[in-house]
Amino acid sequence: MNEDQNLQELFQRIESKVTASDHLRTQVAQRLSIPRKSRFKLRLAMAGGLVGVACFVGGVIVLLPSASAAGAYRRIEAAIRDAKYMHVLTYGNAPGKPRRLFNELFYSNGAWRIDGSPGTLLARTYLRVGGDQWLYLQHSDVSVKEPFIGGFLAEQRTALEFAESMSDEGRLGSPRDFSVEPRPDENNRAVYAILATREGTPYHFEMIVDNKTNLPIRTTFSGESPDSENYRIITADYSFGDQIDPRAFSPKIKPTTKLLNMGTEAEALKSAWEKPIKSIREPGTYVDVRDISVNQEGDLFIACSFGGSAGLKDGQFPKNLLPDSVKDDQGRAYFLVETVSPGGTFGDTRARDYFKIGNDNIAITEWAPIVPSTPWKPASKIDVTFALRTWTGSPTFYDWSVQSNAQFTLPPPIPEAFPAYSNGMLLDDVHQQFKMIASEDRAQFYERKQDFAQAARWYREAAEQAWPLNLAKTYKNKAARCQQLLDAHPAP
Amino acid sequence: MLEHCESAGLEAIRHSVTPKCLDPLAQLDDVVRYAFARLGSREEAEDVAMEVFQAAFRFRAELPRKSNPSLYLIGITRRKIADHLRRNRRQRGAGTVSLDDPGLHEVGWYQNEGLFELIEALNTLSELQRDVLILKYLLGLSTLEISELIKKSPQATNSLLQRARESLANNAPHLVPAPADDRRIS
Repeated sequence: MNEDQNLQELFQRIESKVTASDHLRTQVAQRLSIPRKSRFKLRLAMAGGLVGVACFVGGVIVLLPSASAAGAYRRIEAAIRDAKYMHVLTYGNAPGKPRRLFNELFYSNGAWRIDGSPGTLLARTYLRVGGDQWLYLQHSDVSVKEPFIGGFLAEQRTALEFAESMSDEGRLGSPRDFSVEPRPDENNRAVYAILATREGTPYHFEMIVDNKTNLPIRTTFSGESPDSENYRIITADYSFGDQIDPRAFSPKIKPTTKLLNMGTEAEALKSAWEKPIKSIREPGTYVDVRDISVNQEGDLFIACSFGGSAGLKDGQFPKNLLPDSVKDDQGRAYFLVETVSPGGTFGDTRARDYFKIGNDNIAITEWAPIVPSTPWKPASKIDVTFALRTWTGSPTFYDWSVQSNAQFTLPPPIPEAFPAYSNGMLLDDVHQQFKMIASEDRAQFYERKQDFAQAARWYREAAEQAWPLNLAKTYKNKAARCQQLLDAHPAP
Repeated sequence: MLEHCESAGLEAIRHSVTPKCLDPLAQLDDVVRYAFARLGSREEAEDVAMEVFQAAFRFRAELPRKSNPSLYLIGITRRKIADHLRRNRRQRGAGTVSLDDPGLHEVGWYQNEGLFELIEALNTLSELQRDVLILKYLLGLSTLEISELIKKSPQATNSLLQRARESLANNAPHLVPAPADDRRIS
């Protein structure tokens, strides 16, 4: 046996004995299949803007091939490390339009505050102070407190570490080229620029740095070509010198604010949901329906806890028995808008763990009638088919060989748009997209049926729901395309 | 009924998460094994693996464009391990251990599995030597792939591998017999 074979055999001890635990496998599969966070990256809107602000600084750490750029970075690094305060305003600029504030970040001696997407449905304040993190949802006037257990800004303790953490995009992406260039004075300050480009792409990053203090003054970033419809420039203005009012780091709680403590909310919900409405069991997997709510417009929310898995053994995405189709007693069909789980404020805050029932995760399947009507005539019963599927509902991961049907009596419609548990489960931001997603889904449905009049109508509806996000433009374009098809081939 | 499974654009997301050339879950074991060999703790290895897949999830759009997505994931793992080690060192100082160190509680487990002596032997090597051996013999990477990961020339990587093999054989002769030529000389 040669040396290589000896070593291979030796390392086989690890190969044969160490594998990912089922728990990790499930976690990763769920992470990869979480639908709502990935949808339009809306949840990352706040963080996304900050990437533009900070990724450059961190990116340079790893990638700088140029000695002058590396030296410049080291000076910036030292300057930021000494900074006690940081204030960053991040803007988005679409061509020919006034710039729009994306978010505002405050840092002071280890405390963080980020005000995201002001003036939009996604307006919120994230606060991390000491051992707690707070999320204030402006739209629903809800303030949520959680122990600080991870997620966005999880490991960052200083402004520099924050910047480093945001560097992943750069260092995991294609290599970038860096250079340092002199620039004309700005406001009587001598400045220089660090530039980053990515060969073969329109990627462009520029940081203007104060020559005297070596602190960044401004960054600009664009990732798309100027002729792309998604082209925009992200600009961030930095300031480091001014002390930040400590009150900025107090949680926002107005007299009207609904204050949620994740821990107690979860306990109350578990107690209310202790007895399932119905349990359905199939070999290797089961689902317990815990709650069914319907709103005034006929949107349905089926909350389930589920366990077991039919997919893990194959090393594939785990499949569970989950609601697959719904019809009501008036013959109306519903489509699945999304399957969501109790969320987190930023990234994985493990908020979902709060809401586990025993060891079982919770999934809320959210449905909308294919043909909505105003006023909506409530149904009294629904038939639900359960099938094996992943959370995402992607067709590849469906397994219709296992199906169960059950009938449920519907409670009276709730007056609100969404069930009361949504706030505690941090589903607000998901729900802000609900109407938009439902409209888009309807549009796609009619487009496939070549009913371009209806398709155009629902794309326009989706565009209205999406405003002021860039997505609105995409929907408008799709509506226009359907309208063109309709004009070219008018219905007989 | 509306084809709800195509709703919400989720299929597109799945495809972006799992491009044809890479099934992330299929890579999970490799990531965990690699992190375990580097860190000596299954729990820490799983923590790192979770971080790796979180990063991969964030940058899933990059995956299909990578010529070797599997190597790309291992690259992320290397960086996450480096971050992990740096954090640990910063928290409690290099070379110190804590009673909370999950690795300590696992000694019994991997002693039984015959892994303890291997991890101990690997720990006698420099970090880079340990790394190249693991990449070569645990993950089965080619010298070229390793050189790409550690940013050294293939020649330098070969030399590094050779020195690592020699060091391991010197430090743990009971595990790795010295090459036949060496034995004859001694």
